Amino acid sequence: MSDSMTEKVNEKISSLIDDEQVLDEALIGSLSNDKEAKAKWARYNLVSDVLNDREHYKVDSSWFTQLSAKIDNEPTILAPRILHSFSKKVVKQITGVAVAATVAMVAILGVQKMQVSQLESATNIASATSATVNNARINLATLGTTDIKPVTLRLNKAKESKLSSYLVNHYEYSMTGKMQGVMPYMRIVSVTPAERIVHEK
Amino acid sequence: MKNKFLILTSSLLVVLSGHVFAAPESNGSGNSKADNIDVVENWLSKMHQAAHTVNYQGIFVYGQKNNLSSMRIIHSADANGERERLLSLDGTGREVIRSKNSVTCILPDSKSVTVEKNRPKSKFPPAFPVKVSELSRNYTFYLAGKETVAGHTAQKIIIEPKDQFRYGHALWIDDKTGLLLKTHLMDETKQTIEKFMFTQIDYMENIPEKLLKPSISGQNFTWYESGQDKKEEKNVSSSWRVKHLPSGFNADMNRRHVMPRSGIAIEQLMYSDGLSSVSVFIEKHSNNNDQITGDSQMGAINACGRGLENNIHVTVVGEVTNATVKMMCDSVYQIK
Repeated sequence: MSDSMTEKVNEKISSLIDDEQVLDEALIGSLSNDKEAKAKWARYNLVSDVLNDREHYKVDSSWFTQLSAKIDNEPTILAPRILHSFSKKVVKQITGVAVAATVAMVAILGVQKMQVSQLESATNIASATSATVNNARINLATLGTTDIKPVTLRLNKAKESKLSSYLVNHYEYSMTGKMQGVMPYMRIVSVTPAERIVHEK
Repeated sequence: MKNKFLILTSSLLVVLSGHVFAAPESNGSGNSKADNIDVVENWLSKMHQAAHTVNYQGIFVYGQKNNLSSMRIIHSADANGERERLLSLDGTGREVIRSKNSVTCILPDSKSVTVEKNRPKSKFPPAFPVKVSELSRNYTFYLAGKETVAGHTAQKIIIEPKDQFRYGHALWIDDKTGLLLKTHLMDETKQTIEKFMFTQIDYMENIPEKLLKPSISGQNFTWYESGQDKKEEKNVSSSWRVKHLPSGFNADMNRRHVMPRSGIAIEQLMYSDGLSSVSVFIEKHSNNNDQITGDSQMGAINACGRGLENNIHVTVVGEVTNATVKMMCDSVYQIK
């Protein structure tokens, strides 16, 4: 894809996030076929969701301020207009009615305590496996989250395949399938890794 | 400097991933216990109706454990029934297409297509299957106010289990259309283990045919089909039983059919408490490589398997806690 086309797609994605663009076929095509566009879509959505307070967890205001400053100083990777747009929303939220000592957004305590070195370590991992980041996936285990128990091992392909077949048969008759239609199949479509849980003796 | 945004992105992903494990909001403040179960039942009925009758396309984020992925869904309902297409916008582009008579799973990563043609027959739209008054023995229902999801006002409902054998649910149901816009599933420790949330949804009068077509032709893929020649037997007498069931779980259905991939005959026993379901699969196998033994997990799905005499293998699968599938799996027996 040429630079101008990429720029056009990026603009459309950002406009879509800002509710200034409808999801047209060209954009759907880009989101379906262009890895970079998909990655941007995922990232923009995540950022937008967080900054638009679509989740309801509390985070320390200083962490949020630092995040805003970093976004504002970020030169090129995301389109500056969008970043400023996000920043304006941030300012709106910070100066909004209900925002006092805390700002509601997605967070966990562990992240607030996360050191820069850990983040940089995560970034190095993410950079080395950009496809992982592009797919908006990251493994918390690589970031030092240690209290995962019991031990889990990925099932082999044959067993994963069998579990998926079982799930199709399960959903067709389960209450979840009856209530939510095709939605439960997201576990198969997402390539959710099937893991064997090994209980340590 | 170049990696600055990646740092931010990584941290945001961590934040969002971490949220999956974050504690659900307390029921102690702001949420009203739904003494009038009719209110909850009306919302669930509206949700059920919308899931089967509304025309829409949307994009949503699905998260479980350490993984996040984005997907697109298209749902069409007309006089001929429902057609649905669910596809991943990440990874290899897996798809599931469901029509009145079949479920087609397109798996580019294994270059295979699985077609299950034994879909249950039901009238359209299907009848609302939930009786909240009966569920109240095992769950507590709360109305938790209105929130905005993907730009739409949604009623939040919390369904809290009374024991450790089933998951809790938080549901955000579109105020106007009744469509389920967001869910959280909570495990026995009240930690969110799985969620999905629409980031965009478009309600449409009609769904263009091309949106329901698969993105690949399936050429050079291996196709596995079931249900063409083999007759499915449903609700037939079964010699298999489960001795220990959690409170409220009862036998719902059983069937015998042939699995598309393996071609092996399998018996499926379905148990339900009226909201959650568990399937027990029993097969006589000749291949140990694909048998699921011990405890396994796939998102919010728990599975437990064990071998019995004469190469019989039992696998219990459901959107319930590990305690439930394990208890059921360990107590499967055959009457003589």
